[in-house]
Amino acid sequence: MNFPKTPSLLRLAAILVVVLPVRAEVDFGRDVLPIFSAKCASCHGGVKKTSGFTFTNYRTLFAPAKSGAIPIVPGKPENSEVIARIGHADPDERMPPEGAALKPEEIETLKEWIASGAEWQEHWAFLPRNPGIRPRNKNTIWPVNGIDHYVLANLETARIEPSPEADRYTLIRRVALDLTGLPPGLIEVDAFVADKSPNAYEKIVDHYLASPHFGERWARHWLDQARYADSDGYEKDNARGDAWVWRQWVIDSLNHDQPFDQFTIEQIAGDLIPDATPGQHLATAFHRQTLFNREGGVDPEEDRTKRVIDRATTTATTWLGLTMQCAQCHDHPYDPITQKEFYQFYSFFNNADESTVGVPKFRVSDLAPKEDTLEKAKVVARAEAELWVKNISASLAYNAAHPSMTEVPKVLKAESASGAKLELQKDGSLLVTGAIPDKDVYTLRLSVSQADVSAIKLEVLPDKGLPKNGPGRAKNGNFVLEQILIEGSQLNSATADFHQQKLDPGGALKESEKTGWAISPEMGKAHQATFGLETPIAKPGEITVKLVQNYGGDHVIGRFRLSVISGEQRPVPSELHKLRPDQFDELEQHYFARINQTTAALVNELAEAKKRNRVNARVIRQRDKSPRPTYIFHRGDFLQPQKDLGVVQSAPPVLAHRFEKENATRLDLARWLVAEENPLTARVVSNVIWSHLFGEGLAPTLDDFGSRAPRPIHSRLLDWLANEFIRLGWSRKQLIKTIIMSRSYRQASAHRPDLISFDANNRLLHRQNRPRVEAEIVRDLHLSVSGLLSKKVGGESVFPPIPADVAAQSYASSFKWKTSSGSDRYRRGMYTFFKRTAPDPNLLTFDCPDSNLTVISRSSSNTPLMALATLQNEVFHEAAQTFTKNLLENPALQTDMERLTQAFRACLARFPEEDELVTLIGLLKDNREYYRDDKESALKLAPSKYSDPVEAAAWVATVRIITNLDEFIVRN
Amino acid sequence: MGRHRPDYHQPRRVYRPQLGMHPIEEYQQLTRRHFLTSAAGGIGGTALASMLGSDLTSPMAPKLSQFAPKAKNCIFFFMAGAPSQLDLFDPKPKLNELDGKKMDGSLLEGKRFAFIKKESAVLMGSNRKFAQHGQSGMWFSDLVPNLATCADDLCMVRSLHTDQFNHHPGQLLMQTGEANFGRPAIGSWLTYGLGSETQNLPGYVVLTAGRGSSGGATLWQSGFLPSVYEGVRFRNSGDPVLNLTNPAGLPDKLQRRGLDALNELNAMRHAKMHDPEIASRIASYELAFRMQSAAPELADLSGESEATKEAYGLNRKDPKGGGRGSGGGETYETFGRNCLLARRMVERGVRFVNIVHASWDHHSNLDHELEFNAGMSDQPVAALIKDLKQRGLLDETLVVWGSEFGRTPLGENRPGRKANTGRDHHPNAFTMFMAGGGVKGGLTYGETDEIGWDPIVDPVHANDFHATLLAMFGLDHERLTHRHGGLEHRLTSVTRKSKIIDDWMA
Repeated sequence: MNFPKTPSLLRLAAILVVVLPVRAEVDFGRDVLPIFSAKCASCHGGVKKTSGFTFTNYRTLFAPAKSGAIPIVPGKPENSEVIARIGHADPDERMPPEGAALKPEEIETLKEWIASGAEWQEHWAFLPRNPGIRPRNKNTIWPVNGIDHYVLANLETARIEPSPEADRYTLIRRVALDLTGLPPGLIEVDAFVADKSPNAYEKIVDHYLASPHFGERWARHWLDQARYADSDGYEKDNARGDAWVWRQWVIDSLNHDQPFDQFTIEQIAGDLIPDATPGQHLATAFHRQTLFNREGGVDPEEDRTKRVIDRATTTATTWLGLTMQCAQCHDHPYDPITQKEFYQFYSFFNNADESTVGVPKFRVSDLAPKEDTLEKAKVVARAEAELWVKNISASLAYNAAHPSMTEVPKVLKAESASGAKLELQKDGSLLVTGAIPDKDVYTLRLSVSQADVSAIKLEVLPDKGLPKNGPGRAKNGNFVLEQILIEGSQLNSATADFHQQKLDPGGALKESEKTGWAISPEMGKAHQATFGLETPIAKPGEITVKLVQNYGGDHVIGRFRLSVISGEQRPVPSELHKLRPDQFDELEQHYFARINQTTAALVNELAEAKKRNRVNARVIRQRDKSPRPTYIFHRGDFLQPQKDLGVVQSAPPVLAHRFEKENATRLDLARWLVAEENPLTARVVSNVIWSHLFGEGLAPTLDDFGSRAPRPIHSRLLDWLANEFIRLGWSRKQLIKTIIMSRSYRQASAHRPDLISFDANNRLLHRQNRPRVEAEIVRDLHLSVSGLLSKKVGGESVFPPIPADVAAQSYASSFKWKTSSGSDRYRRGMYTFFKRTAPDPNLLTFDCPDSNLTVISRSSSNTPLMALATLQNEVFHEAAQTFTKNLLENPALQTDMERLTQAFRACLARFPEEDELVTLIGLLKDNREYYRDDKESALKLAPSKYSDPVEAAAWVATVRIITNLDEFIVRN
Repeated sequence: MGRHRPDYHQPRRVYRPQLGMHPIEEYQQLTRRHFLTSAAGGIGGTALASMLGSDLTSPMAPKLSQFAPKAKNCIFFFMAGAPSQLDLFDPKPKLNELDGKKMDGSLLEGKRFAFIKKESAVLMGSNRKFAQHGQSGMWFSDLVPNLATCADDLCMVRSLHTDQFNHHPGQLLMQTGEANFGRPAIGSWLTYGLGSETQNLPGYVVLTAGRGSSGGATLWQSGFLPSVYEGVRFRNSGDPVLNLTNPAGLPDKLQRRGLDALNELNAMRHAKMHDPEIASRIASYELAFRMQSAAPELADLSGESEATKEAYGLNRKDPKGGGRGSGGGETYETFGRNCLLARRMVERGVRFVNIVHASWDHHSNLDHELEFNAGMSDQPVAALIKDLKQRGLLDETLVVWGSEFGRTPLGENRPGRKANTGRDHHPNAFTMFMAGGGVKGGLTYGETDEIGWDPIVDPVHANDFHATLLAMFGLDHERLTHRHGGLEHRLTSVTRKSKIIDDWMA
């Protein structure tokens, strides 16, 4: 195969004709629809439907418009008003009325399309994926997987050779940066270069995929889409101390390669998953990254509505690549999404309320050592445990076989020491009314007809007439039973279905103040306590019971019932009364947690550790009481709900994969998003993943798969990739590996002068691209090569040094930036606390998004402020100083050449070329010469204690140039 | 070659413009590409030299406007918090008469307030004395005596209104055209559309005095435009621009020496990789180096006469008693210096200067607080206008003074307050003024009703102001667009028809 000798525009034109998957005739999606969207839809679209027809609803095009003329008559361009008007000689008649006329070739395209029958197709991205059959390549050696077949087919048609494989230094640095965002260590580099095994490359790919830094790198991409930040956004812009917990969740999800469909379902509707775990609840914090306005005069409903709109539109952009936000005020101008359909989608989120969930601050596995100790202690106590369980089980069996008899005895007399009234109710209970006393004692005379009474049961009951429904008369519905007495008998045991911490019913057996039975926080419900008699009362007759309630503060019982129980029961701890004799696991659990002192202490400790290390994280939780109805807001104004037009939850009907479930929930929506039949999600997501590995998407408009996005050159490959994603079980690691293993990915990234005039933007993927690394990674690279970087994964956000006046820009200068100390000064860029109204300038300068809206692809600018930052900013300068220190103190490095080579390679992995070394040595020499005569400056530039400050300063001034090389912050 | 399409049919698709790219940038990139193609064979000293000199590689390179502009530069005073127009520029004798009375209930229907309780609210007159000034007879209160002497150069717009009644959303609307995050500020749009006359200084500069505003850095963000169009804060202490000074112990001579080596190394790389981004990187480092001397030169006021410094009020200390607008006792001085720096910036070709001062949010103690703030602003702003005029710069420099909304004719009766001593947020009607840049001096535009509640003559929506501002710079607000998320965005809202107010232009 030869390179074309004389590339020209004309030639490229001809080539692309063949490159594009064209049939001989006009392709509607590629050729026709983009013209309508670009030239016609601003007047005949979703917003304005001038003359009564719109290109967002094709049916209106084939019927007479208001004028009576028919816009499009299939087969008859000469009768079609559209054709007449776009080619009209009179500028007043010509369409479009403003801007340039259609080009002759565009008019020709439309004529051809109408002549051939004007077949209207859905927009390509809304149709099912269709990778076609795998292309056949002339070169059968080059392709290693499906990706390569598609890429090579296009290149072969264009008669372009793919670029050669990048050298190994470039490859390992590329893979390390793409997968972890950190440069490869030189040991790894040299091992890879020397590795002669056929799977050497795959080994490094697997190595970096398994790195915990993989999760960090790819989590940061996701955080852009989630508009993640550590503060509220508006005005006071309060800190969100819990935000990082969700970031941690994303890192873990990626490191464990959680399938993307589950990743989706948990984030959109984790709260609705049956028996959701705390982690699944936490996942929903994706939609708690929205801004929150706490200004004094804010209408909370208005602000809530804004957040719900953001949730709906962010979901549409992130998963479907649709721009729905414009449909909140009116029908979408280009895409067939009506305003009503927007609110159908919105309604999924309208009852997704804001809540919190307690989650572990760190991964559960971090508690492993404590769990280990506990398990070992359990092994030691195993025999004892088995014996105990056997006994209790036998007692439970006995008790079940010997049911007790319960009687509610007749109340002969009921008195209150305070003079309150005790009124007998139909159910045999007593309701206490009258003034609520501070303390009280109830005395009851009961007539018992049952023999062998062994226990007395006290039920406390709720009542509408009591504070907070009782059962106590205290303000919060609580009470304290300080002592219970039966005249002439002794009580010696007590159990209750529930008791307040430190106020258990055992306290009511003896006379002592401030002990007794209480029930906070379980007020408003019925409870019961049973008190056992030392000696059963053999004969029926009258008994007197006293309920002493001298705790004070109105803590007296409001409604209660007394019963007597006959029949001997074997003692079983009250918590276990309801168990069956065969619930051995539960019994054993009780033994270890309560009975055995050694294990009980450990169980307690573990529980405390879990509790201590919990944080309340912001999440989404479905509103179950009084759900809000959703209405269409007139012109998007929440004060103008159109109540006559009800809205049911539904997804946009534009897709071939319809959403047809009635009474659908957010969980249904989440499942629909990742259903195999959904044409968009897999395309959109695999396109984004591709973009992180190539610098550009296969479809260039990463955030717009709507009708104005032309079908990309690589649409077949994109469909293949999306299908592959699903086939791999939505495994992101597998999909990434597939891409990275391809020869297409492994190509060198040098631009090819012979192709500049015809594929300058590398649309055909004839080489790799050279994207600049992101803001956070610029920091990571500098800290990493210098040796300063803390590689701790996850945890709370940190406060590396920033200029003092940055935080002062916050509202009323209220925000204080407490600079972190120790290794937290040197964490990866993604952990820097992100204050939305006063972000770290080093991040923003390098195009880190402001985190207010979802961002799918970052811009990449190239400005003098970036140069100033990496040359002068204290973070980068400190890195250069430390880098120098490590070079000079490394005993293995003796000569200038060795040190320069080491520094160069630490940054770029490859060896410097001769002329590069010459330039650097020249610089080093000049720096030395200068500082020899200016020791004072030398001590300032390299302030650490060196035996030779001149040497140190000369090196700092050289090293900082190496770390400012273009190549250093570019993924080659 | 096998199958063919008619030749005319395809080239359009080949060079599909990079989506969302500015048409002029696109052209420039093409030229650049050609330039680099020709140099690609052997990029040596000559090619490197041309790369260094080529401002075409900068997205901030000056660009032609879409039609003939009236203004070239803009100095925009953003008085965050909302100054009371009723106590500065829009006298309402009737309001004074009705002081303490309830207002016509029908005006309150459907209105929302940040803090006022409608049921018990009463009107509050102004304690200021108003008088007419200049040949035009423009009205000013006694709080702005210096500004009053500029009457015939000012275009006073009293009929502005906006959609937002809370600060941060309101500030976003005024600075970015919509009450949403993630949108470019006015200065970003202007530099995106026109580039900047200077490459040695940032094209869009932000100066601040006193405390931070509600919006903070979100008020000068570039949103979906590249970060090169973001406002760069000129700092009041330390380096005027962040990271401007060499690390301690590194003299300029070695900085230059280092950059020469860096350029050489990057050029070698360029010769291998042929990536135009490397050429841009080389140019960026050179611009950075130039900025290192240009910015301190700009900030160095030693060449200014004592008379000038005094006129701008650089010798003034904050009056005793401070005020909420004060930040550390040097707000008067800082603000005065900001005004003088703004003049020096437009002299050097900076496109857009944004001076942000917060704390005009006078819910209580209005008389005292407003006196403090007006005292801070009045003399230096007037001095700036006169200085620009005297230097012949006013014609091409548009000066704007305004805020996110105005303040209510009703006194603020927030529960727990004893007396009404302040005013609440008022989006219905407020005042801004402009000078220079081709606006008509001595014009009082628009009129509010007798108590200043609603505009009754020539109402101006904030977006109309935006559209007109762009028009003064020769830019059509409907055509200065950027594609993002599948939609063409612009400074003005796409759902609202904004009008350009020709009456403002001289």
